[in-house]
Amino acid sequence: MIIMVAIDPSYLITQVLNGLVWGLVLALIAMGLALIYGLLDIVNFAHGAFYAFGAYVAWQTLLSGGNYWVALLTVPLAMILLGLFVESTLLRRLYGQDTKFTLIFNFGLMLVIVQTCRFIWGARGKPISIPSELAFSVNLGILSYPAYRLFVIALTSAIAIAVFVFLRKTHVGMATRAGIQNREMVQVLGVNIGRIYTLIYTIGICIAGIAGLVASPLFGVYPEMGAEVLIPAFVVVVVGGMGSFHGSILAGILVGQVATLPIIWEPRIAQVMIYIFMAIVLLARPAGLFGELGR
Amino acid sequence: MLEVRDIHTFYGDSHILFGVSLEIKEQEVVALLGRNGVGKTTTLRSIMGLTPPKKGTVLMNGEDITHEPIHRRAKIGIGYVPEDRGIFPGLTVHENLTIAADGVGAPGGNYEDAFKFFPELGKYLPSRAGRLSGGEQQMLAVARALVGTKHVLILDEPTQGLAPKVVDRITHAIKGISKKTSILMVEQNTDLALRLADRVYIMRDGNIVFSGVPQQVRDNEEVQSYLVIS
Repeated sequence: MIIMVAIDPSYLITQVLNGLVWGLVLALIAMGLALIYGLLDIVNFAHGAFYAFGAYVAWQTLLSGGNYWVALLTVPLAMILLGLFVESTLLRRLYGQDTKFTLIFNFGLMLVIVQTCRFIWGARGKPISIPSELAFSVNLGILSYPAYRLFVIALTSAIAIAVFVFLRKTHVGMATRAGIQNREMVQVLGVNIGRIYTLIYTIGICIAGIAGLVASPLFGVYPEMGAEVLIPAFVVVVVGGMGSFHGSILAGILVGQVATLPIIWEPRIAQVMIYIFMAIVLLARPAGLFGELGR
Repeated sequence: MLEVRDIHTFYGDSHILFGVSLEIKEQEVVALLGRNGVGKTTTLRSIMGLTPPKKGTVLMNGEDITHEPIHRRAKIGIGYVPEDRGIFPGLTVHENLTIAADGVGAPGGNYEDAFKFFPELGKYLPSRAGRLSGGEQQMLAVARALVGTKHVLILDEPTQGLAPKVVDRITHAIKGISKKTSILMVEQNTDLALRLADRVYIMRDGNIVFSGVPQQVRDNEEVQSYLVIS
């Protein structure tokens, strides 16, 4: 506590907000992982690569004369097409097979996507500038904070809420939640679960791509960006409880703080803090915050 | 109506059903009996397409449905309640029924029939299904399986683990349902099954070893020996 007092409160709040930005980006990636794992029983190792691909589509959009706002349309569109293509031509053949097939498939898919990005756009990182409309700082009283980061908080929150409403209020969302609890029974009741698989996979991929787009002005665009974000995203999924949508959002926000706040005191331990945090959560709740054991 | 012809079903490499054949006619209650592990549940799962047979056919009103996708069966009128009831515990009773209504193509929750036999479910509509008692969950599972136009209802151990009073409640409902819908049931409680059933099949080691009416089972000690644990 003594250390806390010694810190400038505006710096502390800035770090909390930075943690929120990072946490919400992680939550977007983790929610797709959680939904795809929960419903399709697939651990999507390629999810980070889709995040990177989204960022590269944004870069290509800028190269082709578009701007950030155009990318906000081209990225989801490209991701939807890619998700539909992968699910309907390749992934679908592996449903009902041993888990190791989908693991190997997704690992291969990850390599193919990352190498394709390297081949088309090169191995060197690309800077994406913050859209000029948001290149200013907002005065929040005791501190001023970049408008683009506030925009990221708003957009990612809006996406999370939209997915939440979709799962809660629509019939397809209802069937998705039912499928996560009992895949066989959903089909027995007459629901064509294959269509729901396609939809959820595509939504997951699309949201990962949008996360790549919003993150790109903050962290740049480079081939390894997906691999770097995949491990923390898995930490979020595990902390939240495998397959839990709510868990992935809350855990994303928590992990964002855990990854960011220690920088104030000791930047060198910040990297490992999320793993220590995960270990503590799992010791207290072996199935994660919102998970159920024995799934 | 529903006909199973010489099906062979496997779990992985293990051969479970060795040429099972049976038939359920209109408005008939058929009991499938036998000791544990003789393939009763596998027979029901084969009919539903959950463990499709490698050989043989499943016919519904003359149409070969052996290799139809699982979800098609609800639409052509087969309802199924598995042994573990298969309710969605995290969803409300209303949502459990709505999914069934959507599944058979009556979007918007057209499930009035469900309440005909279990009116008490009405008051639980907003409750999470996981919070219901075992008996209430079984009522929900049966009601949900009946949503839409169902010609055959398949029940796997519908009274298992329920209190005697609830067993009576379910038994009464089964009698009511059977006036319009054929029923194929697996039941450990032999007395109950013989009281409810019009016809009985008895299985042993993945085969049907007896087929007849309940009185024949009561009269024949050799047949009864297939049912008791010796």
